[in-house]
Amino acid sequence: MTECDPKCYLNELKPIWCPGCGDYGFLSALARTFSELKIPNHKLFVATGIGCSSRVVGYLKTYGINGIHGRALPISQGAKLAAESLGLDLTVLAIGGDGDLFSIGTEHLPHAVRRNVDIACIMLDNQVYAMTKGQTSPTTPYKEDILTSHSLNPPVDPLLDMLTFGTGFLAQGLATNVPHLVGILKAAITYKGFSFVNVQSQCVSFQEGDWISHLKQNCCYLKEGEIIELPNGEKWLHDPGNKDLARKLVEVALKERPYYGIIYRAPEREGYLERIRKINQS
Amino acid sequence: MKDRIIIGIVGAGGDGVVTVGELLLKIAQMKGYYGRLSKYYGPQIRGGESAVKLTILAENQEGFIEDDLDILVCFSQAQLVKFKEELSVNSQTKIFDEEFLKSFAKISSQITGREQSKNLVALGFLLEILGWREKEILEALRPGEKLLTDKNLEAVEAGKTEAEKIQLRIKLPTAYPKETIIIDGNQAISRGALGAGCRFASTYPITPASEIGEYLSHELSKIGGCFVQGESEIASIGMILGASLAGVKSMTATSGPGLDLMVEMINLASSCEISLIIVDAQRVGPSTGIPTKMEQADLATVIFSGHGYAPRVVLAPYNFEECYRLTFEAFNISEKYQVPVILLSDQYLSQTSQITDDFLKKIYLIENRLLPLPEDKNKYLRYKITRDYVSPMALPGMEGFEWRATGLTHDEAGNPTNSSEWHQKMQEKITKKLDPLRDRSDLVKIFGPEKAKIGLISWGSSGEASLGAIKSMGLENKIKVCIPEIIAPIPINAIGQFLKGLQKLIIVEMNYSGQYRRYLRRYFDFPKKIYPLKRAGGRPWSRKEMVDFFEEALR
Ligand SMILES: Cc1ncc(C[n+]2csc(CCOP(=O)(O)OP(=O)(O)O)c2C)c(N)n1
Repeated sequence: MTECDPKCYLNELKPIWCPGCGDYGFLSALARTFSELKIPNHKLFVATGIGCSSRVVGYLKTYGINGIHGRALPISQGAKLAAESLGLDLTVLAIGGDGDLFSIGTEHLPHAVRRNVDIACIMLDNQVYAMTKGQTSPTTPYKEDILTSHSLNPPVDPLLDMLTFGTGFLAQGLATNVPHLVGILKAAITYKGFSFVNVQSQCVSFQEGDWISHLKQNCCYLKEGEIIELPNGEKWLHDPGNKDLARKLVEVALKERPYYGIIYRAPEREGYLERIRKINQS
Repeated sequence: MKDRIIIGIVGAGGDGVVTVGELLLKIAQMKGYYGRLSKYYGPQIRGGESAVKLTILAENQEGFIEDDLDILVCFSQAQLVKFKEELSVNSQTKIFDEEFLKSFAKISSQITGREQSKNLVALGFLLEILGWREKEILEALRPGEKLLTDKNLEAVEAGKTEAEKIQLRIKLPTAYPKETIIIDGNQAISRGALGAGCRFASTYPITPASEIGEYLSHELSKIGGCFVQGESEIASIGMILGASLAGVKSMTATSGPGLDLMVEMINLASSCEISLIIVDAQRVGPSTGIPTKMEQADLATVIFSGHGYAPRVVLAPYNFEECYRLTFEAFNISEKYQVPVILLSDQYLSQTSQITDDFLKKIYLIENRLLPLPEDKNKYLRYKITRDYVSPMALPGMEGFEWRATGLTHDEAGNPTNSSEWHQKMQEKITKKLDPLRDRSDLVKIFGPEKAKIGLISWGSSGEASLGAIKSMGLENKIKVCIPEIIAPIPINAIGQFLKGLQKLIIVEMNYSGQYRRYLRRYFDFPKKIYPLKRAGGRPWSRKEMVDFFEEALR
């Protein structure tokens, strides 16, 4: 395989996103990730749901599907399991928005974790239903004063929930920091098993307030082996293998402090197909 | 001499009714007879009342209709009430009631120390009545049946002795052991799927389709395939859609409530031209309905469900062998035309066991998806409009052919477009590519004399019942029968030909509103006199109700 430029992973279509949308940053990070991992185009399969963020697959030069709202996970698991059973080394991604993966498609998350099919699930979290023009999403911030708040309900906490489900690889990135995001995506894709990455991706049209400044300014980047200070004053050496620390990190509300980096990485476990094969051999 | 014997057995939980039914079916098979066994349960999850109806046939025959019992063995009068529709009797039926069977419990106690084996006493009793006295048969069954202990075999023998005290003997013509199998529709479909090359399946448990997933979960892993129990029907159909995109023949199986959840994905598959097989084992609806009973009321939903116009193929087997054969057909059509295919069975076909000639030995041609040619590399158009409207489909792993499916209206390259022109063209493509199926006259079964003036049209297991009823009336040469196994697209020529020159048309289907009749009306002019035999489901067709109706229609 010849070294491939990130551009080789993008087709000629022009994205429909608004100028300044975080999804552009994600798309370029994704192309760079594929390029740096040197995965041939024809061995990539990207399944998405419906939403602005789910349009991303339409701009790639890979195999994939922009299917129906909330169903990227079942489709991607089916594709990966089928490829595995054919002996085809296919890199499979499931991508969706916060509404797609954490509202209409939430039923699939804990089960994808349990099956541990080797796919990377990436959520582009813009805290809003952007494609349908601004309704509240499950991650829309909640203010105590409901009269000024956009949302009537407290948000879900995707990282906390995913860790509780038992996700083996959990990370968060920021669409505006492409080089950092590339590092995270590479780690997620090369992790053998189900991985989940939450990408904070700004919506310039419908997001309330200056959320993006908060996401940039009050954040903390996690680096393995470096000291991090939690809002409660505790100091820890960051170790993605430490689940106790991961629990503390995901307990911190996003509106208090966003953490970017690999939050948790469990030792790799066997996947669904391996388990089937094992039962069969015995 | 009779050419069939019908035995009903009913009891409370623990009476071992189903065990006797299953043993008798196996013995009938070993003796060289044919037959079928229906099992009926109360609403309890485990235990509770149950009943079986066993029909033993001298010959394998086309067409079958449930009829009144010749013999009823009733362990519990109270439970009989609950199954009186399934276990219909008439003045000829010989009934052994609760009172009579009390002695069986005593005999069982004397021999085995427990009353439980009274069902085996009953087995011996029935064997004697049938004249199937050979001990070797039960001996031969012993390796597979833990139940047949020495003591229990003694109980069977005691049952035979009991029968010596009564007059009743019912004989079938002598049969000779043949190579037959015992199979139900769910198994036949599962075996057909494996034969047709299915290597990926995902289902969510639901009565009466669950056995398909259970079977495939065991078998697929043995042959390098994969089965996943989805977290819902939506997940299951999503999994198989993903697997199909990766190039593996895939299937799911469900019943009404699950089918409803799958509609959005069937729609997507129609639009994106993805091969999928969905088995719908129909049960009584709407809503939860009666999960364990048959109906044919999903017809409209499988043909028309979903928003927009999303053509798909619907096939409906009318008997057990066709469950097997049509599954091959379903996969072949789905692969060839890149289209979702719904295979419509029903609870009766799915869960009734049948002794039949070994159709599993039959081999059918297998079709595979059209792949792009190497010279199309780097200029591949996924949805190229070809002469037959079928476009080659590239699979992941093929270099230089990368394409992305989308539920958005798309152009030839597969790119999303808002153009109404492309929308029109793609609607035409997904419709016209199925046109050859309209000429598949081989998927329309015709019986009886071509010149008959009276015709009957039916589908699915109602078709088999209609054939059985006509045969029992000796009217095979008077009424011609049409059973289309392809429901959608409509086999326009074959049905049109059948209807030509008819004076009377009987239409048989098991749903309240007559969905198939309404569907046919869209395409055909009917003869002046039409006789729709339709009713809500909940019990199989009985000979009596069909005969009464046909007599009326013939008058
Ligand atoms: C079954 C179904 N319901 C509703 C919609 C309409 N719809 C399209 S996108 C969307 C929400 C998208 O929000 P999100 O997943 O957060 O993605 P974003 O557009 O913000 O990237 C909805 C509700 C749909 N396409 N399908």
